[in-house]
Amino acid sequence: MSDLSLHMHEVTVEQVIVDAAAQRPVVVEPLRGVSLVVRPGEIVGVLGTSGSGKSTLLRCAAGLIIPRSGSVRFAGRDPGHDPLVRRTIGFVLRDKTSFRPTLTGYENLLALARLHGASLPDAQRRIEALDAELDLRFALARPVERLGVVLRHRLALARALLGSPKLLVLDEPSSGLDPDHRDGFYSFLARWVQQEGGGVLLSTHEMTEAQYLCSRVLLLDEGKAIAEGAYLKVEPIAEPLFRRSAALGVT
Amino acid sequence: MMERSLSLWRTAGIVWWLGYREHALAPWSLVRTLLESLVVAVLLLFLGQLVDVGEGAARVYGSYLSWSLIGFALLQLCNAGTRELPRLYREARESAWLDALRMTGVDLRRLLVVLPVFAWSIAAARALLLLFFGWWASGFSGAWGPTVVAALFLVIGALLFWAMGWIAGAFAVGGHHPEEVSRGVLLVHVLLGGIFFPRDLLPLGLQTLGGWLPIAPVIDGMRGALMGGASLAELHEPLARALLLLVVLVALGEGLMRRSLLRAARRGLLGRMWR
Repeated sequence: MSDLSLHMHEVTVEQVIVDAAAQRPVVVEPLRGVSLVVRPGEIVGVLGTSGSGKSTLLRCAAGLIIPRSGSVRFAGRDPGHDPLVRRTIGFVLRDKTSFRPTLTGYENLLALARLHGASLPDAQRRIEALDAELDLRFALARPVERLGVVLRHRLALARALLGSPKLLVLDEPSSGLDPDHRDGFYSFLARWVQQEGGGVLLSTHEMTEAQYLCSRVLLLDEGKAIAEGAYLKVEPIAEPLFRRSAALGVT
Repeated sequence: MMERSLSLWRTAGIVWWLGYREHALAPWSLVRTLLESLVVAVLLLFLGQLVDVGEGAARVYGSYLSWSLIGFALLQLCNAGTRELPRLYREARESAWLDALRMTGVDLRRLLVVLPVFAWSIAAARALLLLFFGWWASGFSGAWGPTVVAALFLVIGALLFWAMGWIAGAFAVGGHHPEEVSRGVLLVHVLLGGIFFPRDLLPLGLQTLGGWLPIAPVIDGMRGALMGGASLAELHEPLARALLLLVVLVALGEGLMRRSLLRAARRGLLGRMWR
């Protein structure tokens, strides 16, 4: 991959500030001047305890939240103001409500693929290809409300991959998965990065996940970045934070 | 995948298909909708014996059934705009479905315009069914000219009610719960808009207020055309009132929606983030 294309698919988050909002049921944790770069072929983890601002940062990077100040750039454009850039970002939304629950996985994917701009035959072909890659048979055939955690997880991943993204954004991707499926998911992610050359930005509050998956880690605490670098560099700072949270009964 | 945004019509088609599939899985909801309309139509038949619309402003109108069915048909569209639209927006805002839709690259404003497309199509089908029932009850003038004038008023009415929903929807997008207020607005329309009884039966102050409700000029125009056979020139007064209200409500709704969308996007209020 040339330097130019490397730059083209780099996501840069610079000094973003997001105000806290709490209009139930929506709660947004604040961010206080956080910066981050995800280059193609990299898996960058955002590590932090609950309420540290991980999800807010991920939503900013995906263009779902527009920061009060600072900038977000993907392929040189702002995903918050340019919907077409969002199309090249795959956000793995695992929430049940991110699907139409009474419709089958196939109907959900078909509609979203068509909203991505694909023609009907192209959308059908894309879903078939994703089925072959992720083994979606059961998830496609059943209503989403009847799917278990694992199948819904696969379906969410398939949805994020519909638009052949150059960046995958995953919010606590492996929570709720059993060890076998978790390992399978990690392998898929590593394979995807290698084959597609895309970047991955994921949030986690599990230190083992960060250690296993991420080439770089950003540690957040109360909306501020307090450490960044290889996992081994961040671990000594992260450990006391997580111990303190565990003592307070927060994950 | 395409490098430009989907057109409004194509987006609407896909969103309509989703709504259709959801309702196809619950056919009883459609049957219930039709039965409700039928029950009210039959009730109006009986009410026709009790309510005298042969006096005052309504004296040109023939049967009460056809007269009130025009109001009831418009109430379907008024309900879809005033009550359904903000409810849909609030639900979309509080679920992660809107996030999933936004990640496909569809423009947010375009999404908000098309999200209620299935609810609107059901309301329009109900309204047309009721108007057909009114025609069958033979209270309508069958001439083409008045029918075209009535269709014009119907379109203006649909736009007016959409604008009302856009205003309420702006509050829903901004994190508020406008449904209670919307229900109140709808009730005011039912009581003062001249849907089931003539407005000139009301006290003078309420008559004036009722005359400036968005539904009033549309009802006046449609009744004048369908039952009185009036031409557009004869109906210039309700037409002017309807167009004035349309300009004011669209401008107000657009301003409020722009403000709400910016605020919601800044504060991350679109999409679900449970603590």
